[in-house]
Amino acid sequence: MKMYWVMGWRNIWRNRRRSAITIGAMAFSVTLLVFFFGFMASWMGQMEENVIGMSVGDIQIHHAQYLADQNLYQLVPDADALLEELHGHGFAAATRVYGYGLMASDESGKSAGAQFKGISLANEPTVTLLHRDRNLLNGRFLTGETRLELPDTTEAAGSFDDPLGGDEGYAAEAEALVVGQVVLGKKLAHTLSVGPGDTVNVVTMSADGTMGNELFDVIGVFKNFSELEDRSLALVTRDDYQRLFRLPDDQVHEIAIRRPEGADLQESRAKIAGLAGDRGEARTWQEILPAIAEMVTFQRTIMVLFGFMMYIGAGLLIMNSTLMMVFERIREFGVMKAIGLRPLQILVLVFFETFWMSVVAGIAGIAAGVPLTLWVGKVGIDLTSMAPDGFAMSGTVFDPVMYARVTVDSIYLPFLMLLAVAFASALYPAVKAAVIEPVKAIYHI
Amino acid sequence: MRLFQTIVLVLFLPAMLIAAEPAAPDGREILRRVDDMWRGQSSAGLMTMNIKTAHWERTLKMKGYSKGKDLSLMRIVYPKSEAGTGTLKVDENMWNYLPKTRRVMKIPSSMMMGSWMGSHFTNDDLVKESRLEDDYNFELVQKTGEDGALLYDITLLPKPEAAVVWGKIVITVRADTLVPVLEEFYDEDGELVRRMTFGNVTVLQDRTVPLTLRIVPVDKPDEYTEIVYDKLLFDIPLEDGFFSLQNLKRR
Repeated sequence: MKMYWVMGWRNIWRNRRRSAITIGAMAFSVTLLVFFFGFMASWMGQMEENVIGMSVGDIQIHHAQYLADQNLYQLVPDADALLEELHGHGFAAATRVYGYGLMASDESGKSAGAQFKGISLANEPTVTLLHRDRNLLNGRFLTGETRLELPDTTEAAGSFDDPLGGDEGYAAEAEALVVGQVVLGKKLAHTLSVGPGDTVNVVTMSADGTMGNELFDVIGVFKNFSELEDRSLALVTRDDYQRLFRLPDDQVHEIAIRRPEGADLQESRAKIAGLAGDRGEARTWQEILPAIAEMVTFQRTIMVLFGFMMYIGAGLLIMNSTLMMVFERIREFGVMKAIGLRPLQILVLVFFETFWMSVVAGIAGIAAGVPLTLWVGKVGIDLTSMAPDGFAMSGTVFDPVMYARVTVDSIYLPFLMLLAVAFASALYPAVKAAVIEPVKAIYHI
Repeated sequence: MRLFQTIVLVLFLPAMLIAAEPAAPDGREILRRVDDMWRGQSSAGLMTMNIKTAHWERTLKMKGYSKGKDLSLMRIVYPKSEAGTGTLKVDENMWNYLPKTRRVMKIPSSMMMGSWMGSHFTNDDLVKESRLEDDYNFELVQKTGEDGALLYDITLLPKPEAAVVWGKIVITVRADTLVPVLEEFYDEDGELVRRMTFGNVTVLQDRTVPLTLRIVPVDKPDEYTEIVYDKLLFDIPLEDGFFSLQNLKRR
């Protein structure tokens, strides 16, 4: 057995130049694939982080009809008690409320529709990473502070006779307004031409049919998030939300939940569904975002398929160089058979040569690929000039700066795949060498 | 015998002539007349708006003013908490004034299908009327109503290039008084979306006008918005400056 190892190793160095070229090409393919896998891993990671970590969480509770028809009145009742129960069973949970309003800026005079999301500052950070500074393009996250503003009380100049009479004026005395804080989606802020330091005016239809009208200080703007949220998200605290929308007490649209480390997703869902009872329906993030769940499930298959396609070139090169080697050494194989080697032994010998080449190429490729991946992971590939707002896929927006990261998969998968491709490519030349007839081979010109 | 025939003919000729006279009136012309009757050169009204939805029910009182087709101003006077809230329409632009924050907000075109003041009217309903003539083709059918009155059914179909929200509008008008009876709004798929009915037809300042109108969404038959005119004045002097942001902001 040892003979094969030694002979295999020695034989690849008999034609140094050809072996070096073949190994070089194989190593280059490995480097590319190590980088590609690292890149994909980072991409998928960003996607998971964006959807699960930033907004969805693992499991959510809604009114049964809420996801189909996101109506202000599809509420989960008795939310505080349910939250307590969830906390009691070791789940991190946060309540959320949603509503649509019209937002306008005094400075720019522009207005746009905004999707309000009211969160609890105490609980939200236990479920999502929404509060991290790195999510913000500028400004800062909600702190929950409010300020008072006395409205402008100067009377408008000039007046007209009212043909209907009753001209005693309408509005009550000027009251001080409570001004809350809001963090806006990037495109919404852009549409309104506002940023931290500006004040926006908001009009909504409240749950009780009256009109909600409040001022908000813009304190931050989010970076890329998802397409919908970039365009319309207005993040506020639940207290500020309540002044706009006046929902019935203790009712929310959504409870987002993180399961304890290591707990099974489906088991957690069943447990939470039991706790919620008929107050709401519990769904996993996979049920809420099936497209993204599918992408994460199939990512490994897709990566391997892609990898094999990238290896086709390397495989042809291996086949060519092994075939050349077999023809070149055809007399040698003839002599070996003449002195009694069986075809299988010749086959194994050729495979050992291929194996050694793959090992050398694999080590060289990984040695080059890992630092490259780490380097790109640090500096990123900046596509800002091509896609300044990042690009969207399945409703998730990716940063215009792409990163990569080294994972276990991204190292051993390219190597295993190289071995598979190399053996498959060497099979034909190896069989050719194995079945050769000694007499013909020796007299081969 | 011949004489008898002549007499009969002479006697009945005027009747036959009269019967033949209303040679298919033009739908566009009729709507224009309906419009003029409603609005006059200028108008002012005090109205009560009752809104009922699945979740709440409320009553607003408001004053409305209009001049020509393009200028109108509405202002809530009751309840006190919302008094002063106003809407100004100049051509196709709309602004809301919000007394609580003392700010004027322009309604963006994306919000035109949004509810106006929480009612079943859309912002577009307030703006669109002046554009009906430009955006739609008119078809007119005469029919007889249940009470035997002659009615005109005017069907409005959008012109191919028009950017409109409705797939079809059918307006039914009484032929004798030109008072609208019913308006039906269909979406692009030809599905009936909402129905507007008119009632309490009264003669005011030589005009026959309905003093109530009620809008019911077809998919929520228990909901409605009803407007009742408590006072309606026509052809009153109103300066153009009355329909300004300045005046909208008046408290």
